[in-house]
Amino acid sequence: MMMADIMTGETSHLETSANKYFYADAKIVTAELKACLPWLNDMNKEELKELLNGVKERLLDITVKNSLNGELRVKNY
Amino acid sequence: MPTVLFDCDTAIPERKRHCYIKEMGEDTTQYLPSSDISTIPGTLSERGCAYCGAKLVIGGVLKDTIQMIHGPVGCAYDTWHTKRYPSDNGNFQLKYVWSTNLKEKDVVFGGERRLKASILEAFAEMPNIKRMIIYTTCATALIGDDPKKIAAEVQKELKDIDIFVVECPGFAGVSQSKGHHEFNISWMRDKVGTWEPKITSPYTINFIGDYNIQEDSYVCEKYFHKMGIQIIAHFTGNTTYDSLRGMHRAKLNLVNCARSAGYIANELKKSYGIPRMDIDSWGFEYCKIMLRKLGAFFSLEDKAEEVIAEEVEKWKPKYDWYKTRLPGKKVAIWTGGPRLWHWTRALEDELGMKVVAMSSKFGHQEDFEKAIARGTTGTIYIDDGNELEFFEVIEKVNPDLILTGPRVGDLVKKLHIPYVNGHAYHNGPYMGFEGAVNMARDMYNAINSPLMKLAKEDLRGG
Ligand code: SF4
Repeated sequence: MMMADIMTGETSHLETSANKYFYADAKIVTAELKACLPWLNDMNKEELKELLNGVKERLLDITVKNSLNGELRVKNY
Repeated sequence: MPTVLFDCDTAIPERKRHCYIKEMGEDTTQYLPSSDISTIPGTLSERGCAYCGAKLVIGGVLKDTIQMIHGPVGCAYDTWHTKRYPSDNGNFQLKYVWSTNLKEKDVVFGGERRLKASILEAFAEMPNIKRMIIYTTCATALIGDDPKKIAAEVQKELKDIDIFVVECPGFAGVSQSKGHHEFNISWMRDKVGTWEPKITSPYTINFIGDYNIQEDSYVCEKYFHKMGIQIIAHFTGNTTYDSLRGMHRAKLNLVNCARSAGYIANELKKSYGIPRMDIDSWGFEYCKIMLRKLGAFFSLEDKAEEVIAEEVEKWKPKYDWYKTRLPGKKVAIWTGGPRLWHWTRALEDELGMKVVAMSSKFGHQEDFEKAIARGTTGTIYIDDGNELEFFEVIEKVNPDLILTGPRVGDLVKKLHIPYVNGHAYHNGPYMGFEGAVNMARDMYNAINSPLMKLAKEDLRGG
């Protein structure tokens, strides 16, 4: 969970391009979240992980699982 | 609220599923307008055709390439001089138009001979140009011409030339979106990996989905170069044919227009493992995010911050001036697709404007998911809007300004509502920090110009 690592100041392994990309995305979102929701700074890593897992589930719900976007069900897309 | 049927659409109730007004607490898992489906006969659609998507949007931007349009001359003429994408070589791509000028005789007997003669003539007339894109159109696809066969023949004969064929007849899809798709996939299949770029930096990107509208590309390019980043290819602003053949050598794909060019980024990721980074390049805050993301990817964070600091210092005072003068102004965004979600937050959060209506010509449901997620409640969202719907929306929301193309723009001008060209801009560039200032200035000028008020007056008096 790269965002939780970044939020708690842990370093991530960035050997692959894909990892570098996830890191870049996570870093920017983390900075935004911390600026908008300062109470995040008071959470420990476990709490953050739980919270971010919840956010991830909600995002997946909206954008994938319950999405009404018909294209997602077109096999070739 | 469930999707809505406008009064003007009672005769075409199928339009209901394309129109939606967002209410508090709703998300896109409850309601999502239908999109990227056939236009209902009888509505006055503003869409373009698949050929237009391939030629006018993507291929026609290339600055060193003959654009051979295999079809009746109208297809060529309608996509010539209607978009402002300059280049740094004297605007070759804007000056000329090429067509095989298909006639009835060719429809009956086949157009391949005419195509071959046109290709040879074009290369002979322009001996310095060695690259060509051939587009099929409705007529030439229907009669079954085989442009790939002809291109291969000419390549054999002339040797030092290279030709790309895109099969994009207007009827191939429901809108220009199909042409974008065709171009992306065909280019990836036929041309990427056939040319090796010279690598001059350890940090290389493709800048995808930016078409140098009124010099947008130059603005972003300046930032990237200051960070030490080499742009292998612009897909396709101010770009060359061969640079696009070398796209496989970039370490990152930076994707601006995800609708017209997301496909090639996906394919490059699949085939070459190049990550796709989606960004927004309009608005101060989005630009900062774009540069910071790029900086984080290449470990060039300090450089990114330097560029941001420099640009903000230069442009913020001007931007601030407009920031105090635009809040509360109601704006409609009626453009192609992605600019709905690219612009809505920038206009609302940075300039305090209120986006009251959004309409997309060729966006897919993915674009509506983004637009509705970023958009606010009470806003009207329309897919493939028609003229009467635009009139009705204007009555409902009474916008101060409409960001749209010249076609709808002329329509709203007649109602004495100011419009700013949302496709090709009024006085761009609009990308980047300076672009945000230009866009704010054009919107401010449009809203405050006395012209529309004067136009309402009947000068004949009495
Ligand atoms: S719809 Fe067909 S005939 Fe019309 S411009 Fe497009 S390709 Fe040409």
